[in-house]
Amino acid sequence: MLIAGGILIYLAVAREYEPVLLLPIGFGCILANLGMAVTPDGDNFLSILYRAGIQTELFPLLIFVGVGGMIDFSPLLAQPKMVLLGAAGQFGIYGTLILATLLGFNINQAASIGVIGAIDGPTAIFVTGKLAPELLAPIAVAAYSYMSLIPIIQPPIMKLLTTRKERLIRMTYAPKPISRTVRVVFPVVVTIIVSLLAPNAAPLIATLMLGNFLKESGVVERLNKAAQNEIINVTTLFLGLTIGATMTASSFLNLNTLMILGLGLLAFILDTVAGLLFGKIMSFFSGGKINPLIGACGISAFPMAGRLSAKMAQDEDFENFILMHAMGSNTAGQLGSVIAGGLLLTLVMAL
Amino acid sequence: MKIHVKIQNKTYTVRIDDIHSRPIQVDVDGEDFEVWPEEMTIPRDTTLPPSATTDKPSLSSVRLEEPVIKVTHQMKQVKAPIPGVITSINVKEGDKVQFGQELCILEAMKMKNAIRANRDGEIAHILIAEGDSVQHSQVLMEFSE
Repeated sequence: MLIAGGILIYLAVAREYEPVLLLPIGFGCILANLGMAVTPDGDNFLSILYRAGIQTELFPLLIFVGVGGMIDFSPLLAQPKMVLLGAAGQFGIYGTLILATLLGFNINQAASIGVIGAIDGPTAIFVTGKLAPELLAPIAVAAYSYMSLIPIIQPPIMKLLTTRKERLIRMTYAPKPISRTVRVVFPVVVTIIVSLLAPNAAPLIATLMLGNFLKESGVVERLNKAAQNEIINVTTLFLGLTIGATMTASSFLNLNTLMILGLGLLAFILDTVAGLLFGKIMSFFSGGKINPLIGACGISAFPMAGRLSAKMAQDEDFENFILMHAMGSNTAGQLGSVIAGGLLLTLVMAL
Repeated sequence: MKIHVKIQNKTYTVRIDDIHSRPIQVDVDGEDFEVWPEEMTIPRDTTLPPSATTDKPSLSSVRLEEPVIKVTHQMKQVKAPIPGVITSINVKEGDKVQFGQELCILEAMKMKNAIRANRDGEIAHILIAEGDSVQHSQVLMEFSE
């Protein structure tokens, strides 16, 4: 396991794959195997942090306050049809759920594993904490590792499923001014609607939208800055460290973990494929005006997935800037994964 | 822009609204065509472009008579494709740049976007400074000709 931690740190330091996540996870993993592992009633600092932040689900919610502040919904508000891609990017969750049930996981565990596919760490932790707390460690590790591996996992799928001609489709940025009123009202309205429709997702959507509201209101710049920097940074550090510190040989090196990692990867691939296929359908119906690459960021993983789609298009044609469209799809994916997570909680808990 | 093309004594009126869109939407005497130019072989001088491919084979031999000069004139300005902040400028006024060379970095949505030259030429004016916020379509640089 020390080697596993070393590999994560190597990826973070030498290759710079999402170092903000992988470095604390890798370091936590090394600490865990030096006698500082997270245990349910341990009194070392990592166990205390785990009980305080992960078990209580406080960390994912605090992270969402920061993520909300970083999200700019105007690309989505300017192109509401992107919502479809954000919904398509969640199909893998349900496909994997079925497969995981067939492999012998109970419905609660299977639902938690499926959520990995959205590559939305906070939502995965939140849902798993409610449904299958015993799987929290491997699921969090899977969700966060795959989030940092997006630039390795997604491009081959994106290349396989799109033709060069499709990747070359230029999408010019058509600035459609979104009034300040709309931007301020949006987070409040979404919070109310989602909380009523999927009450189990309410804390997630509420914190996400609170962060966004801090930014768009324009009157609490200090709180907005704190959310986007100090709050999310401190929380990410603690979260990564504690998640990493659950990775001990005895709890991690078993068949269940391997199956969860495998199923999570499958869910991720299915989500990407569903997003891309839906992107191709939209491309077809728009008469070739939509670059299907933006379907791939209909998963969550904001903003990494959006940036990757934009970069893939630029690699083919350096004058093609689809960043704003990709971000529209990616923010839709972020909303989609929260709502999908909430629906899953509602459905499974009702069973 | 409108171009008149003469082929075997018959004059066609070709209308192109936006040469930068892909595919380029072309209107030839009221009939619509979509044209995919060969991106990486943009002509370096004023010779004719490599024949553009069309979806109608019967028109594949059409060659525009003198559009390239106009096209490069249109490309005299380097514009911001998306709004963002200029984080670095990699050329100076008077620099000769080549097709594909990085001119500046435009950061948008926390992503660094390289703005590259879409032609060879000499940079005459740089209208931005590092740290500037730029709007969509704002002119960033101008070529000398």
